[in-house]
Amino acid sequence: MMIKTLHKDDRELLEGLIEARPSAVRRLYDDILPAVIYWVEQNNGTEDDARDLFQEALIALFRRLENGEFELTCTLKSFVRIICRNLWLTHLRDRRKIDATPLEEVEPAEPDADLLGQLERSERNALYFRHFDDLGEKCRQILAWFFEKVPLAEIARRLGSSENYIKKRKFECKEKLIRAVREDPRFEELS
Amino acid sequence: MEQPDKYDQIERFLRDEMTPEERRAFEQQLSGDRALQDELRLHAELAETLQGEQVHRLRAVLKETDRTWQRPDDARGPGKVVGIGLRQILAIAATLALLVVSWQLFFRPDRISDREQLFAAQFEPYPMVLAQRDGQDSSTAEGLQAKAVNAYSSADYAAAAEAFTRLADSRPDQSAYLFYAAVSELAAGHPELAAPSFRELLSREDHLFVEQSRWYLALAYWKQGEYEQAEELLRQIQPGQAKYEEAREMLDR
Repeated sequence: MMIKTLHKDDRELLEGLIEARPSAVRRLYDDILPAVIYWVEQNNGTEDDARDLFQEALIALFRRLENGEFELTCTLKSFVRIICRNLWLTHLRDRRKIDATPLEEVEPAEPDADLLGQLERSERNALYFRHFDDLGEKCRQILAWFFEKVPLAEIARRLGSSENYIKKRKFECKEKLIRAVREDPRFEELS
Repeated sequence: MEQPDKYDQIERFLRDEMTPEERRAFEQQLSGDRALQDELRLHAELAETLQGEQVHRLRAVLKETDRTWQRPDDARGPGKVVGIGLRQILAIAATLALLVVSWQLFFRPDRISDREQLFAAQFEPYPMVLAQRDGQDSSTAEGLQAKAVNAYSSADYAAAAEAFTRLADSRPDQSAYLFYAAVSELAAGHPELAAPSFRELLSREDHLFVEQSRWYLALAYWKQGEYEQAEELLRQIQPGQAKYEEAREMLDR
């Protein structure tokens, strides 16, 4: 995967994000989150909103990096701030609170279509993650492998089970996840 | 159709594992069935969102970082009433324990006050060296620079910080914008917002404000009570460099 940035530091941080390196994530928090909290609080939000938003932004950015070549035409700090602003305005629109500060006219970069798609769905994604976390450990493992397109026979081998059993468990786990998502009142609002 | 069969069909469609005939039949069914369309979309989004072990690893790191990361105190608005959660209670307990141990050594009120006074005595916003451009329309770069310079010159540092930050975002090659954005944040009482920008300026090392950025970053740390980091930077300021005398004065306090 090719990452182009204006500054070497930014490239290292993005590589750290892709590798889920705790030191890189910590630096992103130290360097960027205070400004995001400040801006969200000026726009009808709380510190907790900003923290949730920041995590959604980093996961969306992670997914975008996974999808191939990525070129940053401004600093990483600016870019994450732009993502967060986009996300927050989307959230406010979803909550029918549209009196947010409009985005500045002078923006250094625009998220590309791929990333915009991630941002548009990010609240739904957060909801999916939340219900996924509520599943049992074995369910999470089976589904994680299944979504990664690991064949059922291979999942069975890794867990020391039969393919038929894994197929049945996979269905039960997915059914449980889908039911929980559909029963969540936020899901209707976000659809 | 039984639910397991339906799931199986949707998954095979999404993974492109159907024969052409099966695919045609499924697409035909899909076109007239709104519920099936919704179901397909949900399966697709779940697969896309949850696939890959690495994203789950990243989420675990994010959760842990978020649990332990604390917002710098200076980032809270003055007089704001903040609810206390478990995270804050644990942080306060840890801080109190540390305070009890180190009170006599480091945190005597007279000493804090001395340090605050020293900051107040040493900090002054850097003189404005950018040209005042014509322009009223802040949707243009010229207009925004005019607004930023005006705000800075009239000591409206909050407005200057906002305008210079936007300029810095749009022109990352112009280190002066980031420098003035950071100085404005510091002057507006937000050292925690200023420090990351000064750190970024120090990492660039190819502009006119390197020495000044080191000095102001030291002041930003100082203002946040991070004296060790501040002193380390102050010690790096060499004779002949900007602010050497002032740095010695702070170190010899």
